[in-house]
Amino acid sequence: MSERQNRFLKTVKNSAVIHNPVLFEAIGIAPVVAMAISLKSAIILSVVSAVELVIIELFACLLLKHLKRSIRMPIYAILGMAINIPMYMLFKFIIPNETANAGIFLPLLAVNSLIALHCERFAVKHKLSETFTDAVSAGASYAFVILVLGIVREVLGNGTFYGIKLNLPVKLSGLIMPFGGFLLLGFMAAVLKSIINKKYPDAKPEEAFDLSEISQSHIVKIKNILNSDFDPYGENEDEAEPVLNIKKAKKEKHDKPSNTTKTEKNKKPEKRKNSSRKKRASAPVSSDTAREKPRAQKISDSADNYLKDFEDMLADLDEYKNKYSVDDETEQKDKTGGAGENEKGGDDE
Amino acid sequence: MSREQILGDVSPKYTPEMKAAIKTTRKYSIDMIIIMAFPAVMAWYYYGERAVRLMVFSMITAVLVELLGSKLFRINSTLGDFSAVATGLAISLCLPASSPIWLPCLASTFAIFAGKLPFGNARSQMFNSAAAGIAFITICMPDKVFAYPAILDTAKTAVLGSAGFTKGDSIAYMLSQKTSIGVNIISYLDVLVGNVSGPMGAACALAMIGALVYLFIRRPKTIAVSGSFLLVCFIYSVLFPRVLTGRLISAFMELCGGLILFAAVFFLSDESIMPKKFYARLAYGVSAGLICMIIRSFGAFEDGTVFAILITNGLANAYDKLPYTRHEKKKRAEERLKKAELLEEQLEKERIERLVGDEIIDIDADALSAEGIEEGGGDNV
Repeated sequence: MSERQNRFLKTVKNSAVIHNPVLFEAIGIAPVVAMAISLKSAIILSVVSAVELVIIELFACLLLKHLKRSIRMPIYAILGMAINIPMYMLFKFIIPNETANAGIFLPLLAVNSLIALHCERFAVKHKLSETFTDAVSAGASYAFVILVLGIVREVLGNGTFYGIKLNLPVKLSGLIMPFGGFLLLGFMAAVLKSIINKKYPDAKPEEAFDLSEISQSHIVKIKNILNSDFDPYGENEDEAEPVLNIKKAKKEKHDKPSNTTKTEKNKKPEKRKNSSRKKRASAPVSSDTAREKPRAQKISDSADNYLKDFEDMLADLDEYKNKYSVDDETEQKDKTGGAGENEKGGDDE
Repeated sequence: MSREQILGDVSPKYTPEMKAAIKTTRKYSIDMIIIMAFPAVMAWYYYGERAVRLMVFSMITAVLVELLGSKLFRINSTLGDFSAVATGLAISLCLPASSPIWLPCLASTFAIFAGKLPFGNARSQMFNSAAAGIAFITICMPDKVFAYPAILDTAKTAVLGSAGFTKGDSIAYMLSQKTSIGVNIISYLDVLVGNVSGPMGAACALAMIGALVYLFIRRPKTIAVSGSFLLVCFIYSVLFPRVLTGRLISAFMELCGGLILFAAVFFLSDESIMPKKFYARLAYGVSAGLICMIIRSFGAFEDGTVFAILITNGLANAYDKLPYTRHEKKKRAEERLKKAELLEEQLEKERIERLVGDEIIDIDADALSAEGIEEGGGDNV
C-alpha cells in the first residue's frame, strides 16, 4: 500500500469513525435531536449539512490559509448563509411541508459548529486532496447518523416509513421528542465506542480535545467552586485535618503550644468576634481534638520510641564495626543501608 | 452449573465489594417487596385476578430484560439483589388495572434497559428506574396510563377498549376538573380504603400510610426525604387549594390522589440515589414536593409526580454540597480517628516485624549481648 493510500485511509478512519462528529465530538446535536424525526427531514438535514461542509472546507483550504483566525470565522458564517439560502429555497420548492416542519433548525445549519471546527482543525493546515477526503467522510458520517436516527424515530415513534403507514401496534411517541433523540444518540454512541474499542484498541480519541485553552477559562473556575464544599463561614479552614496528621500536630503543639495559639489569635481576631455561628460550629471539633490528644500521643510516642531504639542500635553497630573490623564489612553495610531505606519508606506511609 | 453461571455471569468474577453491594441492595429490595405486599393485596381484592396477572408479567419482563441486557452490556448480572423484581412490581402498581398486559411490560423494559443498565446496577443508577419507566409510557400514551377503571362489585376488570370497560374518575382527575369529593359523591372512608378508581396499587391510602410507617421504622434515614416531601405537598395544597369546598379537603385529595404517597414510599426512599447529608436530604425532599405540586397544578397531565421525582434525582448530587450537621461532623471525626488509629497500629506492626525480621539486627543483638554490654547500646536494646 502506498503512502498516499495510507494517508487517505487514516483520514477517513479518523474523521468518520474515531472522531465521529455527532457520536464522539457531540457537534451540531441541536438540529439532529430536534429535526431528525422522520426520514424526509433527515435527508434534508444531511444533504444541506454535507454540501455546506464540503464547499466551505474546500474554500477555506484554497483561500483562507493566510488570514487571521478572527477574520476567518465570520467568513465561514457568511459563506454558510450564501449556500444555505438557495438550498432552503430548493427544498421549499420540492418538499414544502417537511421544510416548513424543520422550522428554525434548517436556517441555523448555516452556522453549524461542525463547519467551523473542521475548517479550523483540518482545512487550514492540510492539502486540498486531504481536505476533500476529510470533508466528505465527516459529512457522510454526520449524514449516516442522522439518517439512522431519523428512520428509527419515524418507525418506532410515528409508525411510518417515508410517509407510508406500517400498521405497528404500539407507537412510542416519546421517541419523537428531544429526550428520545438524546436517548437514542446515547445508545448509538455506546455502540460506536464498543466498536472502536474492539477494532482500534490503540486509538485514543480523547486526545483530540486540547484542554490547555479551557483550563484558563471561567468554566473551570466555576467548576472548582461547584466541586468545593459549601462553606460560607470558613469552618473547614479551622478543621485542618486534625486526625490524619496527628503526629505533626502533636509535635507542633509539644514544641511550642503557647506560640501557635497566640499566632492564631493574632491572625483572625475580628472574624471570631463577628461570627458567633462559627464559634458554635467549631466548638465540638475543638473538644474532639482535645479528646484525641492523649490516645494519639500514646501511639506516636510508642512509635517514636521504636524509632529511637532502632537509630541507637544502628549507631551501636557503627561503633562496633569501627572497633572490631570484620571481614564481611561490605555485606553489613549493604544490609544496614537497605534497612534504613525501608524505615524511611515506612515513615512516609 | 454454578449459581453465578445461571444468573448470567459474563465477566470473570464478582469481587467481594460487589457481593457486599449486592447484599445491601438485596436488603433494601426485600424491604420494598414486603412493603408493596400491602397495596398488592388491596389491588387483588378490588380488581381480581387481572391485577395479579399484570404484576407477574411486569416482574417477569423486568427480570428477563435484566438477564439479557447484562449480557448485552457485558456487565455482571445483579439479578441476585432482586431490584429488578421490585422495579417490575412498583411499575405494575402505578398503572390502572385495565391496562393491556404489554403496557407494564413496556414500562419495565424501558426502566431496566434505559434507566438502570447503562449506569451499571441498582447501586449506581442516577434515576429511579421505575419512575423512568412510568414517565416514558406516560409521555408516549397518556390516554392509556390515565384510563382508570371504575370499581365494580363483580371484581372483574375488563381490558381497556373492550365492551365491558367503564371508566371511573380518579381523584387526580377530579382535582384537575376542580370537582370535590364529599359524602354524596365519594366518601372519605372510600378514599382511605381505596374504593375509588385510580392506580391499582396506590389508590388505597391506608395501605400506603401503613407502608410509610413501616419504612420510617425500618429506615429512619428516609424520614427526612419522604417526610419533607409530604409536608411540602400538604402545605402547598393548603395554600393554593384547587377545589372550592375547603383547603383541608383539597390537601386530603392531593395527598391521597395520584402517586404522591406511593412516590414518598418507593421512589424517594432509594438510598443509593438520595443525598448523603441531612440538610441535603431535606432540600431533596422539599424540592421534590415543590416541583411535584407545580407540575400537578400547571402541567398537561393530571399527575406528574414521576417527572418531579426524575428532576429531583438529577439534583441529588448537587445538594450534597450543602454543609454537614453538627452531629454528622462529630460522627465523621470519630470515624476518621478510628481509621487513623488503625493505620498507626498497622504501621507499628510493620515496624516491629521489620525490626525482628531483619537478620543483621538479630545477629548483632546476639553479638552485642555476648561480647560487650558495657560497650554501650546494650541498655537500649
